[in-house]
Amino acid sequence: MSAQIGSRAMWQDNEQMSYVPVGFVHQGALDDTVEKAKSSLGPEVWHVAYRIGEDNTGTPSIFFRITMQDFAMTEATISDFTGRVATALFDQIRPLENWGLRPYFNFRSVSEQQKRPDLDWV
Amino acid sequence: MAYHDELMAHALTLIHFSPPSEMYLRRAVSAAYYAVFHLFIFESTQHWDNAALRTVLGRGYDHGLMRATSNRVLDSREFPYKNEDPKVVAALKDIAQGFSQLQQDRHFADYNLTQSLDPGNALSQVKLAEKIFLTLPLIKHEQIVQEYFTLLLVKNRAV
Repeated sequence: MSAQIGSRAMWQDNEQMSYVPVGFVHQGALDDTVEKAKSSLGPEVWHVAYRIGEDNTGTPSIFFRITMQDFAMTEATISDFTGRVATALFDQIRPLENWGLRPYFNFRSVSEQQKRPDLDWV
Repeated sequence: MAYHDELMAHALTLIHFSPPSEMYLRRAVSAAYYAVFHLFIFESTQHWDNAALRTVLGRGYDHGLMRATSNRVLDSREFPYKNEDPKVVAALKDIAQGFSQLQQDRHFADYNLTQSLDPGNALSQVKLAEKIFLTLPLIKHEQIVQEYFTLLLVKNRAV
């Protein structure tokens, strides 16, 4: 079978034990990791901000708020550009495996950020 | 037209409404999530022989478990997917991540009025759903995708 549980998986009493949640994130180390990942992104990315918090299920999460150049946020381009950026950040940061955080990616354009500045995106 | 296809078309109509209003943007994101939700249920229940009962079986799907499963398959410790086609694995992970993302976005769109929803942000979310609709047919017969569909319904089990 192809999707088997890896060696780190733990089972007991017919229930899977969850991984120990990361209560504290080493902010400096995470900053370094995100900075390194950002440097590999293309010119379509204007800024990457992130916050640590809980998603609507209460699970520790990392929320990336990515400001994109306007040309990347058109109907024809948005899907490719945003998908590429999310995949690059996901693959390099490995938020679940290395940080115990569920990743979420949201995008807005530079013009939207200028029109309606939002500190969460800075 | 299947219900999920109608919902996706509805989301695309709403997101293109001009001039854009936040109400339409929020409804578009919500419809996009439900389009993917019902698409997954539709595809997951296709192997149930008794076609007349597929919609009844579909009532067993739970948003929370579907999201938990989607996050599980993203974790390479639990699902290393060794010896699988990397392109299929990448596409499956994009779909799983997309589902989790859209559920979070729907929650924001439907309930959180403390922050505004930008047209660009909403468009990216609707297009994410559309991308799932375009990608899934290409890989849905792969075994790891069928396993994912199975785990959407079955709590805390491996395959």
